[in-house]
Amino acid sequence: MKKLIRPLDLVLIAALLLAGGGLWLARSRAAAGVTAVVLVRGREERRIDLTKVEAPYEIRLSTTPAVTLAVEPGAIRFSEANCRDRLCVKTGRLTRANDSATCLPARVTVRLIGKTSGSSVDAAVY
Amino acid sequence: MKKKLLFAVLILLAAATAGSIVYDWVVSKTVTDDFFAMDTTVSVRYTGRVQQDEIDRIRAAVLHLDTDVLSRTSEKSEIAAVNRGHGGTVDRQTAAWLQTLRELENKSGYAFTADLGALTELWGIGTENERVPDDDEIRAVLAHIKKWNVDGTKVTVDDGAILDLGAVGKGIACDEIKNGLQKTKAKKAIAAVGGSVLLYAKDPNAVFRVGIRDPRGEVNDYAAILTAGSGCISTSGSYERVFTAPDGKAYHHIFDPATGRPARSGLQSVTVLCDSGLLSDALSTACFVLGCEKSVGLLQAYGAKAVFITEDDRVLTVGDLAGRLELTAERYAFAGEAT
Repeated sequence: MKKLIRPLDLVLIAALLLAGGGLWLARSRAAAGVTAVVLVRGREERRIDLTKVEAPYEIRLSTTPAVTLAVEPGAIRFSEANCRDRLCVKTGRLTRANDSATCLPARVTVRLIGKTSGSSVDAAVY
Repeated sequence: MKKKLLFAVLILLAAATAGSIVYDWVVSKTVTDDFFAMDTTVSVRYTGRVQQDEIDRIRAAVLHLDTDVLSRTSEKSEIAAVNRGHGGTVDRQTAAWLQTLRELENKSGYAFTADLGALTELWGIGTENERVPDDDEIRAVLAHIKKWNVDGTKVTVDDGAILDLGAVGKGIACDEIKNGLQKTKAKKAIAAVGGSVLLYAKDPNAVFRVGIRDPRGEVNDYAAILTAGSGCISTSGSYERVFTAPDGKAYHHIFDPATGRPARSGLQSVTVLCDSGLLSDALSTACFVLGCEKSVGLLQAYGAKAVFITEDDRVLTVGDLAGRLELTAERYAFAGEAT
């Protein structure tokens, strides 16, 4: 009888399984933390993995009006805005997936992406 | 024989793993489109097989709705033209929206009216000209409101009034996004047009977690989290666009058409859920003006559901939401179904 399964096949199947499992694991791990996406005029300007932030720092965006973002471990917020109502600053710290803040005059949006957890929501109404 | 079975099982396992990865990448791929329209941010999160040109088309539809139809400030919009001419003819779709609003004005006893633009301008809340007008000024404006009408595609507006769809534009945008989505293979989508939200899913059993802003907290604080199915959700609250006058008093931007002043009905906010964004927007505004008790009949007439947060921090619902509402801020107490 011809051998249905040769040692080489086993190795191939094992490799396939490992690769698949690894990819799946990598994807689910990547989604565990929160990442801040900074958009200027709807276009992505930068992306900050907030779980990897070790010391607080600031990002100054040369928009009109100028805005400053304060980045800290696990959180981001608008710290300064040269506009009238400073609504974006009043929004406060963003910490959970789908939290967002916008400076309308400067057209800057900061949105957190990541897996929705117990305290986060799919959408917010206000 | 055993080996054959083992082989088949292993192949199946490998195929399943590969399949789930492909599924994850292709079918449940999430793309977010962010842009600005309706004086606010629009964010549409698509899940599923959606083509870039479909996303672009939906964005274009919202921008068109803003600049060519609804905007009061865009020279070329239909509403601006109607205001310039104190009336005029509009597109059939626009007329249909206006008819829906006229009907809601009647059903709500004019707790909502679309021709409040002159009043909004008089107060100027949120602009450089914000101030508290005196009684005579308010009375002068009130004499011209609640008089607009739509007959077929013909719209009439009183000389001293301004048609202003600012309170419902975001909801109409949600409806337009939904129309666009129905032509795509999107499995799920969440569109936030400012604070008005469209929840869309092909699966009729899909649910979403929606945070209702904590009126006493910061922008990203929630008073409650609602588990909702597909539909539109809008909130009207007294915390949005507040003007603090020199005398220290705070004035918010939702006006009672009866008094011409910010509505005082004992509410901090009201959140309305229904199929249509136009209706959820208009109903939340009307209900904020009416207050909790008087809103019940109106909401039932439209088959809408609502969550009220009163000034004394009680949370009441309409439409049997108790089991789907989780209070997340300690100060609020659930007070049952509104009657």
